[in-house]
Amino acid sequence: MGILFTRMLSSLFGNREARILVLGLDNAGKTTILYRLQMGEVVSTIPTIGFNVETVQYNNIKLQVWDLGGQTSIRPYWRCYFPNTQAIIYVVDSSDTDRLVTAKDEFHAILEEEELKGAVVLVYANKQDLPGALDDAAITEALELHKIKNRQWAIFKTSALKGEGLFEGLDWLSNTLKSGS
Amino acid sequence: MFSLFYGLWKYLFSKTEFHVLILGIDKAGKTTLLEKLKSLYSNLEGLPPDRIVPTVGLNIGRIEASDAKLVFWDLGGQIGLRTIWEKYYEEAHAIVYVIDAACPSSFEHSKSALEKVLRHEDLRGAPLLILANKQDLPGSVSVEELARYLDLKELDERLYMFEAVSAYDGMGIKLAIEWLVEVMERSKRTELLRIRTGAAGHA
Repeated sequence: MGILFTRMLSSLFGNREARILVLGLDNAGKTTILYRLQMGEVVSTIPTIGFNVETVQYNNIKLQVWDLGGQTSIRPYWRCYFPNTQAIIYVVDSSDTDRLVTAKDEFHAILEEEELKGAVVLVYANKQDLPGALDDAAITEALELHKIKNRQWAIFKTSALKGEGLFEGLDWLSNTLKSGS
Repeated sequence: MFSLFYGLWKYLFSKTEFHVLILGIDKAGKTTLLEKLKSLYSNLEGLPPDRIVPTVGLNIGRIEASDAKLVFWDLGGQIGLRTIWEKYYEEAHAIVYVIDAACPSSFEHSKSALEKVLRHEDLRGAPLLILANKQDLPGSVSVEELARYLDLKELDERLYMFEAVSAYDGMGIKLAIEWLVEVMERSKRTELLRIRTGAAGHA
């Protein structure tokens, strides 16, 4: 399945360099998702500028992951990773209700970035396997997804642990990138 | 002085961008319609119907028709997701309401969802286009029959039209969009929205 998706994506982008950012607060489940997708070897790097970016490269597609929130001093360096970004996958721990407000603020802050204006947004309401996890409609409310009016978005209930929902979301993503708007 | 002329020039010659909401219960064919619109009016190919999955969010289509710019917002129709519909009402110039005309058992549900939409204050005066979709399927009911069934009471002062279409093969769509552009151009709501965004722009 992982192989299938990567084939789908690489045929989609042709020879263009493409980037998909996988973002979210720490402990949202981003790295687990990367491993689940089995797109290749996950390379963890801690650049000297001081934040940890995980990268999976498959042909011309780069998936890059880092934590939002925390230290504000390193934020300007995030921009190095913005050009050529076609999509943002935003991962939320649906059971961590205490930090949903932070998750929302960080999310909308990153969407403001000029270079990410054209990127479509896929939200994973992750950790659905945990008791007390909010469903997709509740996460939609909490993240105020309705404020997004100029780009396409979708939300999927996922459990990275069980591998549920991930590919449904990616299916949407590849369809959306393909059909344009 | 220049900015004054520029403002005037822009006012006279720039095309208004119309926001059109595509609503309807799940499985009505909203996204199929959106993709058909893209392929009919732009050089995008649009997704083939068999690739379309239920929408859980927002799909957007931008087209130009009858010399106007249209932005379509296609929102998911599942019950849990309908709470977000109203968040888009305020900025919408018009509503396209899609009904699966080949599925009479869903009419009651469609009717109650539509009545709820029409009661909403934020949509006051918004022109309404009701599409009796899936005319390509055997057993689909006519526009007249659907209108009789819906028996809408709250349409009095609203500009509205019923149209038989097939989002699958494209039947009826161009006619419907022509009507939509024409009524949006002369609706009071468009004028109100223009004043509001204009005021916001100069604030």
